[in-house]
Amino acid sequence: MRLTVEDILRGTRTGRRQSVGVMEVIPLLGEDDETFAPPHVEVGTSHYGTVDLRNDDDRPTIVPPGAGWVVRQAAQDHAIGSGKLMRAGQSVKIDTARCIQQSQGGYIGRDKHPMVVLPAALRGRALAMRNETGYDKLWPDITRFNTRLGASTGGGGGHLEYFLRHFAKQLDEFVAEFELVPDQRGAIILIGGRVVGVELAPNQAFWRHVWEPLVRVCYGSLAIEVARALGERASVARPLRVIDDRLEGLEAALAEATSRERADVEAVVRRLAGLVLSQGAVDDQLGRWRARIVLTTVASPELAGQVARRGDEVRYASLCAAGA
Amino acid sequence: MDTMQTTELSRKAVTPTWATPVGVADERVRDVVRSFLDHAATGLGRATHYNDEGEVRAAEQRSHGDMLALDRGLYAAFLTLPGVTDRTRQLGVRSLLMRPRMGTGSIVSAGQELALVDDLLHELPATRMLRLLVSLRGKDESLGSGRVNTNRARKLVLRTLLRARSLDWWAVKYRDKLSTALTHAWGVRKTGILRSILGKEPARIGDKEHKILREEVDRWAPRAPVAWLRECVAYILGAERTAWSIPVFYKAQAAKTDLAAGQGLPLEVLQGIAATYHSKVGKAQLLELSKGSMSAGQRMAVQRQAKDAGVDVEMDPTRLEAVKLYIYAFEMGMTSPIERALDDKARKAALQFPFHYESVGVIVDGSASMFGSTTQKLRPMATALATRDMLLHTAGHGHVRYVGGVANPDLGRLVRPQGETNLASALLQMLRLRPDVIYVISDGYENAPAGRFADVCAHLKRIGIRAPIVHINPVVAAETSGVRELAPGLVPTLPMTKPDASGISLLRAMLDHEPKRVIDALLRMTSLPPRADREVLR
Repeated sequence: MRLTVEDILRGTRTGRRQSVGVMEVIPLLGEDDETFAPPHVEVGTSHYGTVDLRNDDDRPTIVPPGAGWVVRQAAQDHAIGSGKLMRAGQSVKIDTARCIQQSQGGYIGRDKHPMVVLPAALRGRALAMRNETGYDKLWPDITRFNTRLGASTGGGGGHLEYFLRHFAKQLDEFVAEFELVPDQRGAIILIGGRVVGVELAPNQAFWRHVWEPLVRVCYGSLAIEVARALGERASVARPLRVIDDRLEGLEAALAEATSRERADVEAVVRRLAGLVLSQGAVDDQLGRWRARIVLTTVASPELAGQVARRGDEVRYASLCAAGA
Repeated sequence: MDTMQTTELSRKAVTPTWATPVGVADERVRDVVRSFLDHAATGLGRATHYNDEGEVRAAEQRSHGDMLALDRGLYAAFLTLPGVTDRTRQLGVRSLLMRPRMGTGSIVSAGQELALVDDLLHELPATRMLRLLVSLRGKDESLGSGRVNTNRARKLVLRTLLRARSLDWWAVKYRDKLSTALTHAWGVRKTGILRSILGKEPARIGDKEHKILREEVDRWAPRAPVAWLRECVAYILGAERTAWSIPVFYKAQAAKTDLAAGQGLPLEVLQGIAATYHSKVGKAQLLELSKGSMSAGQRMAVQRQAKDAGVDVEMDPTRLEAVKLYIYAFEMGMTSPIERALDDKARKAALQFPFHYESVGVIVDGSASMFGSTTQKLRPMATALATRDMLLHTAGHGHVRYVGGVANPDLGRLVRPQGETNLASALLQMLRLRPDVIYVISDGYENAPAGRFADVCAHLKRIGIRAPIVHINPVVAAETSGVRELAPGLVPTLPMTKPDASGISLLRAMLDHEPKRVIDALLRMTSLPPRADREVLR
């Protein structure tokens, strides 16, 4: 089946672009679909490579692809490759989860631990291996990722927490710098001028819950890589073009910059809308008949991820690039 | 609003009285003092929208350490500046007690430093003072993990607590904290001996035991009635007595069997007694019994509870700080008495503000990040609004522009944080109105896009539009070792958490240009105890 980004963006409009350093975020605004609860699920592990999830809300939810849990316990951190649709009150075991903390033993005690979303580069790999078992399969990728970013400490190995610790300050700043706007339930993320993510949640509450893990780790990791390549002070913001050296001239320059930015956003969306995504088999489904929700993996040369649809309507989408 | 004359701080005749330590560059002095002033004026040791608690505290500790290393006397003196947060004073006293004085010739003599520490402790609210004293054991992560057990620290604890006029009241409210602090000062063995002696009937206390009590208890409060002081200590240490003569102790004892006998005891004490002895008593009865003894802050804090329980607890808004009133109004709604109190406080704060103009422009950042963290909910916005009110009273007329946020007639003077931060266009709009000065109240994070405000300021400077623009920041940022600046080198940034104590914030803004003169001006604002030898500041 064929799906375009336009299908995903249908029913949304764009907000004003926010830009800090090399990262830009175009908010996606739209009406809430309150059918879904935010993925504030209870998490634990019972075996290495098996994550136990429980949705205690009275509404279904969608756990994002690449969701992970880095806990302050003597327990091995884990992440999942595929997203998961969960019924109200449902408990599930996912035995295709990956360990993301190689030399730590112990199981995660059940709790509503804060969620992270894997760095974009690892998220793609985890998604590609979504149907395979083997708790250790992401270790080589994590090791390479840490080495590439200079975040290996000691003997290296598959430890995501090395990256999180090494870049903690920068990652926190990403969360701070990009602010949520009214009616926001998604975003298009650009790094170094290139679209690296399209994220859409069913409602604002869901979005508030997933945005921090997305911007902090998933997209923050890409921004760090690009900033390292371009220099710490790299910025994609364009300077003002002041032609008339009076206050009026400055106002005109600001207005021109604002309209240029608006046009840039429209151009980005136009370009993106035509992007065709090929779809894989159904990864997960929930409900029956017209209420049936289907989760599928979609991919293009630029972006890959998963979408959840009810009929033709995309309720949730998380597409990201593996690099920038 | 009355029109007032502009006062320029730099015109004040200032005689330099502080000399840069040998081998320390002026730039280092400026950076250390600036970072310290940022923390001193805004530091609360809690998470912000941007930094978690650990980051904020690490930055705070670094800043205190650097300032102390630069000049101990200056550090001690700065702790007495108006507007310095209680937390900064707590950390400062701990730092002074932890590190021994080395050498002589400081601008603050040893005697002055002792008196200064005493003064700072007495000015702290009781809960914060006690927390500081308990932290000397080295088990309080928030204030620092180092143990302080010097003779000087032990004497300070005993002098402070045993001379307190409210010791009986504190004893029922903070018994555990007092017991911990006293045990730290006396040591476990001596505390055990005192507990045992004080548990005896007075007639059965022997001469040797009286001597111990005189040396360890009575001597610290020579003017307090001996029997009263000994009973307070007995109660704090949990000495086994069947009867108490001090009314609050008697009430606390009696309330265990009849809760009504505890009328007038603090709410938290009654709650503790009820939880153990009267599990069926409801919130309403507890509030009714304790409402006569509540502090102004407590009265504010229990309003929601009191409303739900149908109990009328009077609250006097004039006795609360403007920032707290705003936080309260966000939760409970704005009322006319609160608005009147806010106006009155803004007017008074404006009198302390050294700059007065014919007209001012105030840009208020109401973007989402001004919400603050979950532990500091709405504090940045509340501070911004209280600062806005104060600034508007410093001029004949004022203009206000909001960036982001929800401001509408239903909310009155409240602004709910929301949306992105686009300060540049608000600045240009404000310039059109030609105010004498423009204040931008913002946490310093800009994203539409980042750097646009600085870009506009640079162009204004380049094309010769000379508009005084001042950035006021109510939030400390760990990554900058102080407050985050919007346009470094172009627009001065003032840290501010209390609009009624803006002096140090203003001087901080001048540090770039005249660090030594600013330090001297700051020294003149301190409240140092007189030197014992009549020596004046050199």
